[in-house]
Amino acid sequence: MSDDEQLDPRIVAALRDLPAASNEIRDAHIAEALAYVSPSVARRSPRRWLAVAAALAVFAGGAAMGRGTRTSGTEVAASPGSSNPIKNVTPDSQCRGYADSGKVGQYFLGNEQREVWASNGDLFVYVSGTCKELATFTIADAPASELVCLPSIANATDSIIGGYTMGNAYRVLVNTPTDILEFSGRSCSQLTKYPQP
Amino acid sequence: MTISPAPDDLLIQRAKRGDSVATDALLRMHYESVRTVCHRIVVNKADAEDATQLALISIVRALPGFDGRSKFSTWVYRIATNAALDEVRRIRRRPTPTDIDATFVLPVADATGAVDAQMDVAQALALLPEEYRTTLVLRHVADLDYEEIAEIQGVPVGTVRSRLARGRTQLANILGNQDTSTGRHNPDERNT
Repeated sequence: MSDDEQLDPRIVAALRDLPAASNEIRDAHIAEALAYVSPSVARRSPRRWLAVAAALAVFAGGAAMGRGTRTSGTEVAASPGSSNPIKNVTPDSQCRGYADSGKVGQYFLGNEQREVWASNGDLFVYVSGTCKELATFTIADAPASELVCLPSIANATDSIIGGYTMGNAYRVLVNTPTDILEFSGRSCSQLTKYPQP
Repeated sequence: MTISPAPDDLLIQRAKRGDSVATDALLRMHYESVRTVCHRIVVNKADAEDATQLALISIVRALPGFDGRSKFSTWVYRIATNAALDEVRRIRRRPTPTDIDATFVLPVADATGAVDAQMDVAQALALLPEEYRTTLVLRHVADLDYEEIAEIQGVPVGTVRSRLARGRTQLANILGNQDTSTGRHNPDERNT
């Protein structure tokens, strides 16, 4: 390399001297990446495919309803993933492990990871990890049957949390800095909004 | 005479076929390199960890398409760099300031003009324009040559040279240590 590229060796050393990641962080990073090797999850995708995945989730929910596969309680369709899947999302958080509950999805508010569960007509918002319950909302009624669609995301700070079926209606939750918006997965109309806990 | 593929090549071939054990081994071999590049480009630690995760996922997803035209390490650095730059762009769209924005304090040189090597050079690096910072990281952290950096950044080699010179000079000025550079640099980026 030419001599005009010399940089103080102390600076070079400092640039390269990044403390190694802990074994836990390294293993978690690699495990998450390896999940994309398996054929069954190879089509899982980072956020750039979020909209597509969410759309599939909406259709999956609609199809499940059409087949009448629901049992009692709340059925949660395939989650499109968190609002930001690279934020070291806790992989198997089970803040509400009841048989009648379904995890809608997870999202970040600031640096706090949260997860939303649906159960028996209510939505529950927890802090991931500690599972501290932040709020409970009564699920709003939905109009019956319209076309399946995906709510548009107006701002870069908004993200789809996930979708779920309640009764005969498919719902999609959208995270915004101030509210959790609930849309009909059929009409795309906004049903209600819950204040961000 | 037969030429055996390098161990890395065998791992790559197995990983391309979806062998998770080989993929795991490859990721572990290159993990700290990816992470260091992400941390030096993104700066904010939490965001850099996110970029590291995205880079690893991108590597796994792109592995079947790796054609061997570039060195595997160069290919990995390209993905890590793109993941880090994506994260930087995402941060720019975020309304809240990053930690580095909120807490950065300019380093102060001592009476001799020298700067303690223990000072946080990474913070000084964060003050550089993104293209200079990235070029410096690829050269001095990833240890890539001009041609490899040019390939990753999609710019002519001359642009790499000028970015290195300018970035090095600016970094030295920020650190208050004028001796870190020979002072030679291109007056402009004519090849950009």
